[in-house]
Parts: sequence; C-alpha cells; structure tokens
Amino acid sequence: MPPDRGAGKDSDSVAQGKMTFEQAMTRLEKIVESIEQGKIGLEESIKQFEEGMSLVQRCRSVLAEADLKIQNLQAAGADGVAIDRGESAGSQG
Amino acid sequence: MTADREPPRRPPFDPRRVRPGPDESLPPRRGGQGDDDALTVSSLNTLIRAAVCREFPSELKVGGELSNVSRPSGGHVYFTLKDAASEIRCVMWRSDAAKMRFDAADGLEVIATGTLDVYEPRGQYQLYVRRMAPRGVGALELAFRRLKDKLQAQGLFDSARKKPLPALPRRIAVVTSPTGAAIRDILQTILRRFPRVSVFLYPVRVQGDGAAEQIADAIRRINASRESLGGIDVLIVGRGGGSLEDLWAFNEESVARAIAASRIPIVSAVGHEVDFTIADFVADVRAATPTAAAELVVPVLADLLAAIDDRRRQLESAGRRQWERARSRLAVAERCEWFRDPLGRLRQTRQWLDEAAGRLELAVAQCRSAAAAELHARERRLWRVRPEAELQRRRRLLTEQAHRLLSAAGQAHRRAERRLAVARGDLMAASPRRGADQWRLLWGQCRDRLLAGQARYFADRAGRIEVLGDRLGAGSHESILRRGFSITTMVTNRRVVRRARDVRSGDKVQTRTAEGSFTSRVADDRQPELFDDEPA
Repeated sequence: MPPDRGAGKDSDSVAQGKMTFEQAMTRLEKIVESIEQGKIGLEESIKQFEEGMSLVQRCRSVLAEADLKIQNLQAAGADGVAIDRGESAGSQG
Repeated sequence: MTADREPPRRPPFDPRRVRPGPDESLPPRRGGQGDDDALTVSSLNTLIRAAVCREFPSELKVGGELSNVSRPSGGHVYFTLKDAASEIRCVMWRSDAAKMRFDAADGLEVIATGTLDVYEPRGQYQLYVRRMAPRGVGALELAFRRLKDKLQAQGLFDSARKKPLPALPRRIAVVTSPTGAAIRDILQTILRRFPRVSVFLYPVRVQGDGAAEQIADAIRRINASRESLGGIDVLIVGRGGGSLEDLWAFNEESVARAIAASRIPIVSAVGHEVDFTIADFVADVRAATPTAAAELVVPVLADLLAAIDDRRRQLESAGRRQWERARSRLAVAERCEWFRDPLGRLRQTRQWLDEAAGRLELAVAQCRSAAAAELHARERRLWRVRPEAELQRRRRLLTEQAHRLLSAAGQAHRRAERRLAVARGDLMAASPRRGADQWRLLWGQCRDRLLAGQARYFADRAGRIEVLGDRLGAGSHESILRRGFSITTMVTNRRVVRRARDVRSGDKVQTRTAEGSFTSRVADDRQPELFDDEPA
C-alpha cells in the first residue's frame, strides 16, 4: 500500500472505502491474481469478483468526477490565504 | 563670518533634492582676514553638507570592492567600498540590508546604489547605500555557490527530506506569475492530461524587488491554510525562462527556507532545462520546465482509464475461467454413473445380496445335511460297536474259530491218515523181498549197460588208435627213410644231428636207414675254429 502523502489525500470518493485510488488498483490486481490462480473456492471467487467489479466502478467514478477548476488565491489574515472570489479564472475544459 | 550672522539653516536630509534650497548658498569666499570671520566647525560641516547635497544627484551608483564589512548588533551594515587608489565609507540601514540577496563579504565586487551625504557631527561624508548587488555575472554565481554550499551543509538538499508526490492529486496549488508563460503551460498540460483537478493559483512577482519575499510568503501562507482550502496535494512554484538575474529570486535564501519548511510536497519549475536554482535543489522534485512539472504532478487520465479497463477485462476473464472450470467439473461429476443412475448401483447391490443370501442358504443347508450325514455315520458306527454287537461278534468269531478248529483238526486228521497210508505204501514198497528182486534186476541192467558201454569205448578207442597209427605211419620216419633219407644221431648222447656244426672231426655217430643202422666216425677237415659254435 502506498504510504500516506503529506497533507494531501487521494480520491475522496474512493476514500469511502477508506482506500486511495492506488490502493484500489492494487487490490484489484490482487483479486484478479487470486481468481486466476484458482486456489480459492468458487464462492470466494464470486465474492471477490463482485468486490473487483465494484472497485472498477469506484475507480472509474473517481476519475470521472469534476472538470478542471481554476481559482485564484490571495493573502488573507496574518499568514493565510483565501480564495479570491472577485476574479476567478473560471473553469476550463 | 560675524557672530551676529545666523548660520544657514541645516537643510533637512532629503536625498531626492537635486538642487540646494533657495535660501542656502555658500557665503562668498573671502580672503583670510583676521580671526573674526572664522567659520565654526558646525557651520563648516553644514556648508559642506549643503554643497554635497546640491552637487550630487540623489542617487548614485558606485562600483567597488567591499572591505571592512561590519554588522554591529544594531543590524546596520558598515563597510568600505574601495578601488585600487581610493576608498569611501558606506553604511546600509538594517531594513535595506535585509533585502540583500547575497552575503556581503570582504573582497566581493559590488555595485552599490545610494545617496551621498555628510554626517555633520563627524564631518564625514558617506555613501548611504540603499541597494547593493554583486557586480557582474561571476559575482552572482559566487553568491549562488556560497548560498548553495551553506544550505547543503545544513542538510536542506538531503534526499531523505524529500517528500513523495501523491499519485493522484486533486487539488494543486501554483505559485507563479499570473501573466507569464509558466501558468499557461501548466494549465494547458493539466487540461490535456488530467482535467479532473482543482488548481489554485497564487499570483506573485517572479523577478525584481520583493519577488523572493512574495514567493516565500506565498508558500508559507498556502501551507498554513491548506486544510481550510480542503487540502492541497501538491504545490508547483516556478516561472518561465530568463537570465540569471531574472531567475535570481529563486536563488534567495528566504525562498529556499520556505520550500524546505513546506509540509506540502513542492515541485520547482524554474526557467529552462539548463537552469538550476537553489529552489530546485531544495524542492521535493525538480522539473526542467513548467510543462514538465505538470506532467510530473498529474497522470494521464486516458492511461488510468485504460488501466482500469485492463483490470476489468482481466477480472472478467479470470472470473469466466473460474466459472468454466467449476462448470466442467460439475459436468464431469454429472456424467458419472452415480449421478445418472444412482439406483443402478443399488439394484446391482440388491441382486448381489439376493444371490449371496441364496448361496448362504444353500451353504447352510449343505452344511446341515453334511452334518446330519456325518451324524448318521457316526451313529451307525457307534451302533456297530455297541457292546451287544461286539459281544455277538465275538461269540460268532468264537464259533467260527471253533468250527475252523474242528474242520482243521478233521483235515489234519485226514491228512495224517493219508500220510500214514502213503508211508505204509512206501514201506510196503520198500520191503526187502521186493527190494532184493529189484536190486538184482537193477544190477543186471547196470552191468549190461556197463559192459556195453565198455565195449563201445574200447572199440572207439581202438578205432582211434588205428587212425592214429595210420597217421603216425604216414608221417613216421619209416616212410621218410624209405625215400632215402637217413637219421644221424650222436652215439654219445643219442641226439639227432641236425646241423653239421653239431659234430666235430672224430665224433662217433650212428646212422639209421630204412633198414638197419651203422656207426661211423666223422672225418671232417673243416677248420674247427670256423665252426666252433655253441652247441644248440
């Protein structure tokens, strides 16, 4: 599993399952491997298959959400920033 | 100057003045007259200062070498600028010195920009330096290397400090000029590769006065507010290409420290491929250009979607294979006999069971009858050897024996009688009278036979003698003698003379002819030694 990033967190929606995108992809790979090898039983295979498909869905939805959004920041307070509502660069794409 | 004359008003320290005020002027020079018109030192210095202020532009640029640089605790910097022949004292106020981009040290060639003024209490003219910069590109590079070495020694460049970039960032902060090529390139690249992010642009100056402060400040502020912004995954700081001076803000210590202190991973993207600034060394990742920075930060959406699709397909085919495997196993199991006709085995077994039961019964019956027969036999045997039977048997035996005994006795008796009769007969036959007659008969017979036999024998012999006599006669010497031969024998020993050498001259010999014999003496004139052999 990839280590936690500094301040950022990947893919809020995949974090529903508390999983980052990378983690979801890795888990997906593991599931494919485990089903292919055929060492697990049939019921377990089906269960993992379903989990795999749901991971596929989630990963896809993570990548599908939101268009590019550009916003300006400006100084606010003593040492912070705030979004500059006055003049936004607007969405592109 | 007379005592009642007011000294000219000290002009306020105003470096922007180019010309002296209207009410100031140097008093006309006088020749040296008595001591009454001697100037005071203060007024002299004031006049000098006024003259300096009048004559010199408010801003001067002076180039020279730094020396005697000293920073007392007040924070102001005192130094001397010199060249080969001359030098001048300088001072830089603390606030201005703080903005210096480089480390002022003895020996450095610099261009100092400031105002010339006179410190009246000391009668000292000084250059009040507002700005200072190393002279020429070489000096800049020296300053660069100095700062780089210092920060490296402090470990700011260590790779252990560098934070990894998030694989899939959603909120990206960019610190750069809002009008430059950098932001344009970054946004275009992001749009092209992965337009599912939020970009927060914090506009700053990227060169000139105050640029470094703005950049460092921006980085600090964004760090401080990252949570309230919803989390910032990565920060890009940079600018487009330019000269070393243009990029200089990114070589400032303040920027380096702000980058080092950032909790957010930072990608530096300053200038072109060949430009390396201090910011590049401190940052977590250095990108050669702003476009490269965007490429480092965001993945390609199409690639990710393709990877997901690949996984999905693998998952489906793996699942399908598993399913097929399970199905074919089931099919194999279904084909097996137990499945198709479970009762079949049952029937077989039942039949076998029936047969076995039958055989069992048979065997039991056989067993029983054999036992019964055996019992019977034993019973019979037992019956046979029952005591009465035995008794009877013995009695019968006894009776038989008695009978046999009787009959045997009878037979023996009869045999004895027969023998007796025979013996009597024999005896009678052997009575002497009959015997004597018989003997006489026998004797006669024997004698006759004997005589007959004897006669025959003699006749036979005689006959044989005849024959032999004939033969003898035929071969006898009589016939030979009659043919004319004679036999000579030695008189001495009656040996026949067969060889001439058997005799010697003078021996007496007898010669026998067919009729009569005569004696003679050998007259032999042979050489005796020639014939002296061993007599045979």
